[in-house]
Amino acid sequence: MNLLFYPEAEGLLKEANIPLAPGKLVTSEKEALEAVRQMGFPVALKLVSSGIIHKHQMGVVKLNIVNETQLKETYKEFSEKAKILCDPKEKWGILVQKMITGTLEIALGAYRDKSFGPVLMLGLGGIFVEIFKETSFRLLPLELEDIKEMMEETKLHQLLKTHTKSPSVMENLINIVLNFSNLFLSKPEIKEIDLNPILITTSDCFVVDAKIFTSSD
Amino acid sequence: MELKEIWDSFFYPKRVVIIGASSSSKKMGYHALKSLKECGFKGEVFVVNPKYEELLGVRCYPSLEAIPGPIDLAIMVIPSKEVIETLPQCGKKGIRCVLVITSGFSESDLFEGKELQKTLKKVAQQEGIRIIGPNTFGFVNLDGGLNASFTPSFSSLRKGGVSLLSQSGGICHLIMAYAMRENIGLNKIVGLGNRVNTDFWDLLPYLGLDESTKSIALYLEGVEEPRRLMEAIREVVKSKPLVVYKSGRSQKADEAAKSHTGSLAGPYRVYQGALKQCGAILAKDPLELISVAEALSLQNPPRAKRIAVISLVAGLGMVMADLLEENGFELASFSELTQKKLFALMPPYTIRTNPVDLGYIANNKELCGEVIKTVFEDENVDGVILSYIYSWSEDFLELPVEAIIEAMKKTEKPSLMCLDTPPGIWEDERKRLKAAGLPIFTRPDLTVRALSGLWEYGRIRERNKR
Repeated sequence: MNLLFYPEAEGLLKEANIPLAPGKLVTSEKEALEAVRQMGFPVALKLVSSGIIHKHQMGVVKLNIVNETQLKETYKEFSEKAKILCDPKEKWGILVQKMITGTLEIALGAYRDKSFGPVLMLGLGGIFVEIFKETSFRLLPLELEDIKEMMEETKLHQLLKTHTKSPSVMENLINIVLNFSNLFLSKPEIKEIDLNPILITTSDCFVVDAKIFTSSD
Repeated sequence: MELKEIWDSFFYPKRVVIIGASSSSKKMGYHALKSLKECGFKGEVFVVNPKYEELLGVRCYPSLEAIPGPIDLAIMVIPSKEVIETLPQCGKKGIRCVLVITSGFSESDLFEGKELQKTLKKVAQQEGIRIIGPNTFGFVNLDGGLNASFTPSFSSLRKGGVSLLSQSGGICHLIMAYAMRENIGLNKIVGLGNRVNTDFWDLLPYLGLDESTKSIALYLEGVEEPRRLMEAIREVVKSKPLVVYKSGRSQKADEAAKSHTGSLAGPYRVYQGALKQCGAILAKDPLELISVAEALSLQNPPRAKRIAVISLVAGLGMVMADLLEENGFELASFSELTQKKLFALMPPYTIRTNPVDLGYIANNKELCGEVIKTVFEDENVDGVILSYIYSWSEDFLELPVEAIIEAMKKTEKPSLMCLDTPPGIWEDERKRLKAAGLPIFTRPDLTVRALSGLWEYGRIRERNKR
């Protein structure tokens, strides 16, 4: 399986109406500074490439950068790491992403099972996923009612009620799940997608990290 | 419908032959014949065994051909290779339904076993024969008085509305013993074995049409075509409730399932989600499976979640209150009218609110009956749990059976009973209540879990209407 490079993944999600955290892929320090001037501090920096699947483990994610000095330092560090971590044939870039602070992290994924066919997973994301295992699975296609049941099963429903002020957050998340399942069903070349985390703020939700895998051939 | 005819001749045959019945109680063939002889089967039984004149009073024939007239169902208890050799003879005799109890097919570790199963499938297809099995204890139809299995005890089960399809014979036996103690009523029980050409999805539509089946219980390990199973479930739950216990929650069990019936057990969590999605009710273990299915075969879903508890001892009422809350129910607040009636009927030193405590009036059957009827009639009550426990002695304390039955008849509200007694006590009362359609369980947790099953089915039905 191939991991799609950021711009392609971004394009697919945008086309499917799935909101990504605002960000810009840059390849020079100058571009990075320019991007920050437009979106403002704080930002997060991530080294992205088709060869890097686990960014956190590789140490190529830096959150909450608040000034130009930090930005320049991190840019330098990541671009040096890129020379070691990335194959010269692979495209790489540094993603400057608007820093979003959420109260809740959600994971949404889909894959093609040998016997079940397309399967969707929704649940608590971030560090809680390992401890509480509050995840729920359904076969695709699914109905609105299924999404609601998944939210009840995983306690997302209760969490969203207590952590957000606006009822539209729940609706937005439901729409993301619906759009996501349509995207996965309409593109058989996509073998697996992993949106983790989707950050829930008090008034909205944004996909902060997306991994899209396509078949190798 | 052609399908219905095939399954009717499995479950309601007129003429049955056992191929491989034996005189030795050490052999399966002996027990299969014993089951069939002792189950009160109204049709004719034949045996093919060239070595004997008769077995257990049944005439033996040297071959299938020698039996005069047509045969509806053949039961095979012969070595695996002979099964394959005998199949064309069945075809020639016009037999369309065969139960193969014999093991040593795909479940076996030997390469030979897997090859034999492939051949069995091929020959069955050529001959146009449906096979239940191989590698199964058999099947039972209590509605038709037929025990086509190697366990004669299945015939002693009470006939009721629950039909069970199981991927394991062991689980059927476990459920049998429990159902006997709890007096749970079963209808059809099928051990699917290696599912050579009869799988869950072949039998589910039939059970959907079967009038004597009121609810369906499945014991599932894993199937090769899960989507096909889900589609069959989605269809059948439109007409009746279905409960599933899927094993493989633990890593180990998931691995064991792979070798057990030679099938591929999929990831448990995906099964769980997919089963919910198609409208199945999930059970956590085999006893919960059959308890929930029993309640669903007898009672309606509650309209809402306000439950009344009528208890003979305050303690048991508290236990029920705890369990109800844990399972998302609430204790109903009685209407003013009910409250007034209860205060008039009962003395002040007893609990006259929900959970109602009958303790101090327990020996007054008529008064208990009045209280029960009053609670049933309350518009704020969506379901009733009767919690009875044996105390004092039998001649002092009586169960208000008639009042309970009368109250049940007047309402659509579900009612369940939790009742435990020393063995042999209140047997007749228990039977009368059961016959009137009251599910009775000894365990408080299973009583409440059964109520949850009823509630879930109500939701599934609503969703299907939309």
